[in-house]
Amino acid sequence: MNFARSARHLAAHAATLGFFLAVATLFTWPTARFDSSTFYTRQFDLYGVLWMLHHVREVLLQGLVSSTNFPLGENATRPDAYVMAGLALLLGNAVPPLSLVRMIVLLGPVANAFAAERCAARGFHIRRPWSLLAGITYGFNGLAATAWLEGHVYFLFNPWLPLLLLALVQTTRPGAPRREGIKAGLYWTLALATSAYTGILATVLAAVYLVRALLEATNRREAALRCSVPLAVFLPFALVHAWLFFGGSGQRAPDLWRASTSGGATLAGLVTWWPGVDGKTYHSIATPLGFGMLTLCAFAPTLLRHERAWRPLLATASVSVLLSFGTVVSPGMGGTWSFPAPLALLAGTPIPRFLHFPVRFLWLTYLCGGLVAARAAARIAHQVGAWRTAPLLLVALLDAVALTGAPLRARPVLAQIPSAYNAAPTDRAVLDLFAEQPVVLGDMNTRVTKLTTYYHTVHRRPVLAAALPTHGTNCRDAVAAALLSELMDWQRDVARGTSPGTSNIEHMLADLGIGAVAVHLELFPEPDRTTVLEGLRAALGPPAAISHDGGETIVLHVLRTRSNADPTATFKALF
Amino acid sequence: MAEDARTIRVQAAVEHRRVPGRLVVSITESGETGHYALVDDGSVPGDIPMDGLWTAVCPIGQSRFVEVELTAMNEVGSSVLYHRVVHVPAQDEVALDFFLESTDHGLAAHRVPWLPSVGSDEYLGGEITLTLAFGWGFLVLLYVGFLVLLGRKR
Repeated sequence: MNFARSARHLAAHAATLGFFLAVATLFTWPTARFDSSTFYTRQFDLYGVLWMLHHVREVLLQGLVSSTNFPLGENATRPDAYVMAGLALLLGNAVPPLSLVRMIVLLGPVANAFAAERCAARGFHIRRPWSLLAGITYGFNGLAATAWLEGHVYFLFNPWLPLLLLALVQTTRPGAPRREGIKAGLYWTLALATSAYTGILATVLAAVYLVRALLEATNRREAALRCSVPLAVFLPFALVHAWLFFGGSGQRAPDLWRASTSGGATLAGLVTWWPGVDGKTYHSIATPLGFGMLTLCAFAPTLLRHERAWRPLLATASVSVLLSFGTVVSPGMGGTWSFPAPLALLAGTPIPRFLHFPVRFLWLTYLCGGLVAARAAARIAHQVGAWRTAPLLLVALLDAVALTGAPLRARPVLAQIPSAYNAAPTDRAVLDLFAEQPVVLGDMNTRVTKLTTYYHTVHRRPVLAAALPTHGTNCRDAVAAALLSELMDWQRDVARGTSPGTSNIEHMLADLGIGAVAVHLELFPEPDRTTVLEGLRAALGPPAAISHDGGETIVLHVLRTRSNADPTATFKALF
Repeated sequence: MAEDARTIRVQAAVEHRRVPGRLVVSITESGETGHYALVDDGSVPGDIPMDGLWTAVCPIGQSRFVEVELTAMNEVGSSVLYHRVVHVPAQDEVALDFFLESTDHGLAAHRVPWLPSVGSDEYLGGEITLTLAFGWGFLVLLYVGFLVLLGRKR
C-alpha cells in the first residue's frame, strides 16, 4: 500500500519536473540544442563567469589569478557565487565551464520552479495543478531572463529561497522540531553563498517570518529558542562572507559609479519586455510581474479573507516591488521623468552603496506573489471547478514566456576564438588592442575586455585584460593607452626624419612580459586603423598571423625580442 | 591659415564626467596659432550638453602635420596635458580624441582612437509591446474577474 503511494508520489514529482523542463526548454531556447560551437547570451557578464569557472581553484584557494590583469594579477577574494564555484570545483574537468553554464541555464530554473512548487504544496497546502503556478512564477520570470541574458547565470540556480520559506513556515509553528530550524539555517546560508543579493533577500524573508513568529507566540521564550536555531546556523558563514566582502581581503568596496538608477525596476519593465530594452548599455533588465499573478494577488484579499497565511506573503511581495525601484521610480523606455522611491530615504547611508541592482528584490515578489496567486487560484477552482480555472495555467505560461520575451532575446556567440592567437608565444602575455569608447558612448570597452578574458580561457596565454571590475590599476587600459598614444603620433617622427618613437615600443612591451599584441581590427575606425597598423608594423615588424575566424579579424604581432626584466617592477615603474 | 576647408574635431572624454576647469586646444599650422576652448554645453555642432565629452572644432588648412597643444586651466594655474606634432589625414573633418584621467601628478591626457557610438534606441518596439501587454492584461482581468464573480454566486 505504502509502496503504491510512494510510486504515485514519485510519478507525480517526475511529471512536475518534466513539465518544468519543457517550460525551461522553451524559456531558454535555443540553449537546449547543446550546440558545442555556440553559446547564447546578450550582454557580457557570462565571460566573467566563464573566466571564474576556468580559474575556480585559484579563485577559491588563492584569491588571486595571476594570468589576467597581468603582470599585477587579479584580486578574486570576493567571488560571491560560491555555490556555482563549489559546483565547478566538485565537477572538475568532467564538466567544462561552458557545459556547466548550459546546464545551469537549462536546469537551474527547473530546480527553482520545483522548489517553489514544493513550498506551495507542503508549506501552504496548495494542491497540484495550482501549486504549479507558484513554480512557473518563481522559476520563469523577468529576473531569470535577465540573469541568463546578462550572463550572471549563478542566479539561475537558486532553489534556496523557496526551500528557506518552507523551512521557516515549518520551524515557526509551535512545537516544531529543531531539525526544521537547522534546515532553515542551511538554506539561508546557501542563499547567501549563491550571491550576496540572494543572501539579502533570504535575510528579509527570515526576518519577516521569525519576527512574526515571535510577535504571535504565546510562549515567547520557547519561540525565541526555536527561532534562534536558523540564525545560529547562518551566522558563522555570514560573518566570514561579510569579512571577505567588507575588506578582510584588502579589496575596496564596490565603486559608486554603477550605483545608478539603471539597476532598478522601471514601470514599463514591470509590464513587459520590449525589443529596445536589450539595446540599453550594459543591461537587459525587463521584469514583468505577469498579469496572472497581479490579478490573482489583487483579488486575494476577497478570495482568501478567511485565511491568514497569504498576508505576510502579499506584504513581502508588495514591499519588494517598492524596494525594487531603487532610489527613483522611473518610466523606463527612455522616459526622463521620475519621482523618489522608498529607498531614497536611505540616501546618505552606506546601504544604497551595496544595492547596485535593487531590481533583484523582485525575486521575493515572484516567490511570494506566485504563492498568493496559486492559493487564490486553488480557491477559485474550489468554487467554480477545475476546468473553468485551468486556463490560469496557460495565462501563467504566456506571462512567463511572452511578457519576458526570453526565447527571442538571446544571441549566439561563437565558442571558437580567433585562430591568430595560436601564433602567440605560450610563455608570455598577450596585449589586446582596440579603440577605446568613452563610457557615455557605449559599453564597448567593457564588452571587448570581457570577451578577451574569455579568449584567454581558450588560448591560455596570460592577458593584460581584467575579467572583474577592478578597483585598482587596470593593466590593459594603462598599457594600451600608452601604446596607442605612441602609435597615433609615430608619423610625426618619420616626417621629422628623426628616429621613430616606435623604436622604443618593442623594448617597453618586452620588459612588461608581453609576447604578442593582438589588434582587433574591426574595432578601429579609419583612418586610425591604418595609422595603428602602420605604426605597429614599424615598431614590431610584419604581423605573425591574421585570422578572420572566431567572429572577428585579429592581426597578431609577435615581439622579436625577449627581456629578463621583472614585468611587475617595470609596470609599477612605468604606470 | 591657408584655407579653412578642413576641420579638426578635438574631443576629450573626462572620467566620471568631472568638470576639468577650462580646456583649451592650440593648433599651430605654418607658424600661425589658433586657440579654441573645448566645451560641453552643446554649442558645438554634434556636442551633447553635459555628457562628459568636451569638444572643439578647429579650422585648419591643407597641412599634413599640425602642432597640437591641449591645456587645462583652473583658478590655480594651467598645465599642458598634450603637446605634439600630429599627422592630419587628407579628410574634411579629422578627429583627435583624448581620454583625460586624474593621476597622482594631476590631470593626464592620452590620445587614443575612439570607437563611435553604435547608438541605442531604448524606445524600439516599446509602444507596440506595451499596447499588446495591456490588452493581454485587460483580458486576464476580465477572465479572473468573471471567475471570482461566478464563485461568489455559487
